[in-house]
Amino acid sequence: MLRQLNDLILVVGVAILAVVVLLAMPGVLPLRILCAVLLVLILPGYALTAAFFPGHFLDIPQRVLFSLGLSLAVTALVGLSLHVLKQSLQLTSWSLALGGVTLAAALLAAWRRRSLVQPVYSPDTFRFKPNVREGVLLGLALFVTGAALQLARVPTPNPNVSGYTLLWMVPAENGSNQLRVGVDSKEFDITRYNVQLFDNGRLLERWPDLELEPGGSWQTAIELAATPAVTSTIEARLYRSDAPEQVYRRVRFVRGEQQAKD
Amino acid sequence: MENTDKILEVETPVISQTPTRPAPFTIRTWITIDTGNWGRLPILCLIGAVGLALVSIADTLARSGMGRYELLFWLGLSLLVGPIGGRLASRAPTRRERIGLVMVLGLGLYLVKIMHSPQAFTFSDELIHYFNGNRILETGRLFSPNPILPVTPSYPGLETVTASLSSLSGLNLFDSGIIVLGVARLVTMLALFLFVEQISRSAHVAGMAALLYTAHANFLFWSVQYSYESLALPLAIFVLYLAARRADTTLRSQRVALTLAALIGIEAVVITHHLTSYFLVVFLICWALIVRFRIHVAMKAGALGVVSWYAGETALGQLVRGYGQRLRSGAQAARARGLKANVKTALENRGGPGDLALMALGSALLWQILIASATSSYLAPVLSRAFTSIIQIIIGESTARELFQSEAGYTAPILERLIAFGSVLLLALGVPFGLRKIWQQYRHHPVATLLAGATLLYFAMLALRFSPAAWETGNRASEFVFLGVAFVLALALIEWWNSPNMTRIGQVLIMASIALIFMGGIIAGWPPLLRLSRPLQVKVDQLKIEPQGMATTRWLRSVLGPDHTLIADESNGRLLLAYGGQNPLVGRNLNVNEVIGAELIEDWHLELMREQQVEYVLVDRRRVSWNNMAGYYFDEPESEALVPKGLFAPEIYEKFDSRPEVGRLLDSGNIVIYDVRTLRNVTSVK
Repeated sequence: MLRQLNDLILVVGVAILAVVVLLAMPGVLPLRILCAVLLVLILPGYALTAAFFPGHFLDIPQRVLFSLGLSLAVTALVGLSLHVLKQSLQLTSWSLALGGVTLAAALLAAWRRRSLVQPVYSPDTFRFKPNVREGVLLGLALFVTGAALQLARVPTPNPNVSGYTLLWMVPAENGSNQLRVGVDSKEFDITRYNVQLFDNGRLLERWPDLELEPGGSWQTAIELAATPAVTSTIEARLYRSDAPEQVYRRVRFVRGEQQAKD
Repeated sequence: MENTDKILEVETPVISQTPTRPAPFTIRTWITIDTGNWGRLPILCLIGAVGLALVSIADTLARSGMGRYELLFWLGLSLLVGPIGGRLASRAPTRRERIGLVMVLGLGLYLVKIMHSPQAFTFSDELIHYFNGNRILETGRLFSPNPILPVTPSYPGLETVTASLSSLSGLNLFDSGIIVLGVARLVTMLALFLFVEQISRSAHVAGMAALLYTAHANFLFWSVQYSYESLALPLAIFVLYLAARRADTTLRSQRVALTLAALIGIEAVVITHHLTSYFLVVFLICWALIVRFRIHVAMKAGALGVVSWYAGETALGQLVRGYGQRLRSGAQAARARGLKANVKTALENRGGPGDLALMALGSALLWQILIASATSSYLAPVLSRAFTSIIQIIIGESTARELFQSEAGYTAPILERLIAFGSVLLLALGVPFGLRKIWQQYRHHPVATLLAGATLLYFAMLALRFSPAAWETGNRASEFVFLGVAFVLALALIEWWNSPNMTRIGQVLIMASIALIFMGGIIAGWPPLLRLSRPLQVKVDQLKIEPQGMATTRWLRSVLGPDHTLIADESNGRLLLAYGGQNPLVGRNLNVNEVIGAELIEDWHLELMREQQVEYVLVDRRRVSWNNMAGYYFDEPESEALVPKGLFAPEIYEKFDSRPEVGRLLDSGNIVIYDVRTLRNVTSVK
């Protein structure tokens, strides 16, 4: 009798273990990923398939299809049910709900198998038993595919595209009269800049020797006078040292009655 | 009792009982002889992996600006598809090997898409669904509104599954989506194989049909993008398999189990994608009607009767009465002999999926009424535009669309056009033979009859490609109706392959034809300049630099925070939505394209910004930013062939600078973000 339930015992054990790992040890990432994949994409469907078809109605490919297809479908429906029941869709609720569905289906499957006399699988069992040659070839195939994927995922240099720089200026969040000015370099080489700040065309401040590496950034806060009665425009201009006469970037901030309202 | 449940005439592996001498150890024997348990699957896996490596190299070279080696891409695909196709076409493989080959093929082609966009979701619809998935992760609730495509949150199936995997595993949404879509692709291939096998009773036909299905225009990229249809379609094919299996089952307990499994699948499809649920409803209803009115049984007599009526030998009333009599006598005969009297009678009298059709119809309607009421307002304009466009072409009021020409004027190379036309021609040549095979061998099978109808529909829908407003509808429908084409063509090809007169040259020609059909599908389904990967991240020293759109999106989120209302172009709007968590207004929605594209600010622009509480406007001076497929990447010389070249006129992209009250928050060169909150109090530009 127990032999008939081997797979279900394994499913129940793995499901409980997965829920425990997910809830108690979420920091162990590889184990967490494995448990999540099992709990979302395999176990609910497998247990439901076993509950629906306790005998040898399905062969292995069909069982694989039912397990994957039902897992996808059930996970979507479980999510909807959690939403309807006003449960937040988060780690705990997902773990308990999917673990619960798996356990309930596995118990139902065990109950339905109790009087089964035939073996659970059909005699022409579809087992995966690679011999040495198959193992070597499949291993090589996996290795080459993995290398191809890795090659695709790694960013590469590209001589045909050019870098750029962000210049930005926003008021400070705390409602003070401060302005934040920043430069983010996305250039492909070390770049020297000159930043100038104007108030209604009058030079307010300048930072002449700014040097940023690719990916580097610079920002500063400027304290302004109290909000003026009339509108004034603060403008920041960015120059590159290799083209000092040409405005490379410019931003502006409008101060006045409107700003006070905002 | 079990005999009726077993698939009849399915080829089973022949395992020799006689011990044989092992082949001598040479490289050639090592790779060409069946390895034992899995036939040639392992070596074909390795060849396919080499093909994937070539595709990856082609993508990497394109991404790194070292050249667009399309030939390498096609060679890689050929190595992946060709040998597996050849093996599936031959009679030698066992069922187990065929199933393995079909799954490897499906997964391999899925990896081609991953290699195309390995770092982030970049397809237009992907960014919309990525936002929905992130909202589920952030809020723990479904149905958060989506400002760009409001209908999508009403169908949260894919995002729910992805969010569950992401929540549980700690992986980000991109990696979780890749895993879920990979499993969905496996379900597609396995369900398709088993579905066709159930109908045809042949693993050979099933393998070929699965191979041919990979040749439809959307299979390589569109069907595996992170979008609701990519999960719904596999589940729909799974439901079709369950229904076909149930129709062949007489055991009550198994019928109940299959019905329950099908219902779970149907509900999942209904909450995942509107069009796929409609397709499923229509398929199941047609199938039920064919069975109910025994159309598949009376087809031959009906055809002869119609011919006779057309020739004036029979009156219409007589024809209808005769059909009714045949129905009654057929039913009586079936009752008298019982369902298991013989295979033909059993096939003719198998139960239809009427209950499943009703359940699918009811669920889809209920979902649309209660949850997804926006669906009709989303689909109706698309379908009515398509319909109007077709009518206008027919009555000569508008001109037909130029095939292989983008709206921006890009024309596909002549060789690609020839291949695409050739593939349709080959399909059209092969299908009549498949239909004849159905007539001879499968016309008593209701699903085979239905698939034959779908094949004819596919060719009718090709005409939609001539309509500017309807081509996309036709393109999207192809992945449903191509199920029929794959089945019908598989029957034709296998009949030719197994013909006693078939020579080696003939087999090579058949394989070349399959390759041409496959290439034609890819050419018809995806723009040439987006077929290879484009630069989304560039390595500089040990850093990776992203394009301006991505950088401004990240800046906006980190400095100003999420949930701001912005006006933006098509591509930057999607980036702001997906990666910025903003509330962008884009495209034809509220005519914001006209706000960005105008040379002057007009009063209605101000009114729109006031009504929609617009805070910022993002202006990208590149024309490519309006292209929601190509606007996300670094600019390269070749990319300009896809869209009108260069930049908009300065009057367009600098018009907000002329308003003194408008702030200019960020300047990245091509992109400027304006603060337009001050315009809320301005009622007129004068």
